[in-house]
Amino acid sequence: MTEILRVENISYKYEDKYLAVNNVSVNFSAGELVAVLGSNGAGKSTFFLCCNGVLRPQTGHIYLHGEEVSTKKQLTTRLRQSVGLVFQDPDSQIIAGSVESEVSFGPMNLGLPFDEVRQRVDESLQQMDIVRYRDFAPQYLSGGEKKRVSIADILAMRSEMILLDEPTASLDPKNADALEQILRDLSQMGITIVISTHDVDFAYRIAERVIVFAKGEIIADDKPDIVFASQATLERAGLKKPLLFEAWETVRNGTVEFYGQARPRTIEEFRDLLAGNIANASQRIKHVSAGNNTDPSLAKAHTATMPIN
Amino acid sequence: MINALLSFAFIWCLTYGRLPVPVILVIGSGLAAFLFISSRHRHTGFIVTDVLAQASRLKSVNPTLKVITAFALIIVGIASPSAWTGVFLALTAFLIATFGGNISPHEYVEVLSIPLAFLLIGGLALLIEATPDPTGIVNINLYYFYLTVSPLAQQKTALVISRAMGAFSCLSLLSVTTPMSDIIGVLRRMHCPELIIDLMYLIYRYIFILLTMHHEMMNAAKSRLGLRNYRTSLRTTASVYSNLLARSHNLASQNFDAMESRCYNSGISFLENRVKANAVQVSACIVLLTAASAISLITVMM
Ligand SMILES: Nc1ncnc2c1ncn2[C@@H]1O[C@H](COP(=O)(O)OP(=O)(O)OP(=O)(O)O)[C@@H](O)[C@H]1O
Ligand SMILES: [Mg+2]
Repeated sequence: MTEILRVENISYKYEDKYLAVNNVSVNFSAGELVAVLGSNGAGKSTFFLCCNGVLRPQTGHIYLHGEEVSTKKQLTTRLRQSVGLVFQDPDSQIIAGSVESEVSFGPMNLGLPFDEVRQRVDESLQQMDIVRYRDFAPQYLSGGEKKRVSIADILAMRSEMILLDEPTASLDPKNADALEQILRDLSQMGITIVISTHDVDFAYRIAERVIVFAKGEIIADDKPDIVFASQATLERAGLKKPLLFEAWETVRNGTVEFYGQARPRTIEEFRDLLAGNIANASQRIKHVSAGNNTDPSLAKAHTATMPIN
Repeated sequence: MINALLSFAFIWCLTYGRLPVPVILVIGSGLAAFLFISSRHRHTGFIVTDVLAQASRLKSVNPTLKVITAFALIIVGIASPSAWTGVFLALTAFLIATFGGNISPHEYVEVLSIPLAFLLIGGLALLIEATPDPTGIVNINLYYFYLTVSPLAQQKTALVISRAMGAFSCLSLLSVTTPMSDIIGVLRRMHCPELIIDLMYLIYRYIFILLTMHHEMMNAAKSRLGLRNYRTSLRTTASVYSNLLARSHNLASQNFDAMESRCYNSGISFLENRVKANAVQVSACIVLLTAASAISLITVMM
């Protein structure tokens, strides 16, 4: 996979006192869907600000497409064009007097022709389902609506990498699901999506890769299955296991015997796997008890309630 | 309320001796009642002119035409030697905003209320002089000296205040019919320096951000019984105001970061309304300008 952004040993200290990001190295490839997890104050937002070039790390290097971004000019132009950032707090991001102006701000700064900007604004308003708020003043919208405006802001910029700081924090389930689908689609289109979140269930469901922050450092960077299986990592980062993951482990370590290493990531997969395993198991029962002429459906019902061994 | 009382006092001092007393009473109390009634309908919070502009029916008129007309009217109003031009501009602006733009009268009056209060206080200060002798039309004896209103002061004040009122009205009309993003676009096309446009826009935004923040903090204080009695109110207000500074400074710097993160480096611009002006609109503006100029010319000739 082609590498988009690589940071090496970056550190950021606020006011030269508090070390918020400590010696972090990580790289992101095209089309990856990555979740960044960590407790409050772990340094996720600061890390995002560094990746977008708003904050300039005191030490370390940032590479975009393998080329180092070092001068102020490069930071302001190349990095910010390629890496879009949705802020954690929409109030600190929104600057315009109407939703339409707000969403057009980024594309206008890219110096795009007028019609192109209009088309992008229309499209991102539709994507975030806020077309009806087009002429509204953002400060009079609800928390979740503001969040959707702030996401539309960045979608309209069509960056090749998008960082989202707690995108689902104030969204209702329906809008959170819609956002999830949008993020998956963007990732399919080859756009790198990095999401910071406390919602381990969301992260487990959506991410192909999970990065865990604790006290400004990366303590884990791996596939979700591996990260969430490590109790030590989760404890260090102050996180919980995703519900589905835990449920599956409970079932697995319990009385029913399962085959294969697959783990369900969604409730549908959970259902299928469960059903698949029981079917497998009942096959076995049928096989064993074929001589006794037992009714297969009875055997199936049997397996669902009784321990098999 | 204050505006209503001030306007009554102002009308009284301005017209006393020129109009019969019953007429003054009718005009003065009519204006006061109008201001009182339209300001009684309170909002939760305050009016943001940009919100009115977004809802205005005149939003879709070509912004360049609106900006040019507004500034031309201001120039005519200020250059005019007649007090009637200002009155004409104020009335027309009110009618255009309410009937043309479909904004409710009380919202328009609320937008104007702060400049209006300043104007009325300033007007009274211009009208009333302190003199040793009762030489004016109205004389109030304060033992050592008199507060007097002279006919000359009446004439001067009428002109000054009507000019100011006309100019304010034109600006208000512009701001309740044209969103800020459109005005910025026009100014940029007129080659106004970027720095000035950016500053203007950010100051304008921050006025409302500050007001919103103040409103929210006061509500938060209220919800925790911060305004229970006089003592706590004083303390709460003091702490809200000192916090307001710190918080708004913080918000401003975060906002600036967010702007920079979206590739901003000087030159704020937004999507703007690019409708062409049609013949009806252009001719309406010309008629308006001609009428305003005609009024001032007629008085010069008389
Ligand atoms: N502007 C600032 N000035 C000083 N210290 C700051 C500033 N912003 C953040 N910090 C500190 O840096 C540390 C990391 O903050 P950061 O916002 O990156 O955490 P986070 O992982 O995003 O937390 P959360 O999940 O609560 O959003 C925190 O301990 C915070 O106190
Ligand atoms: Mg954060």
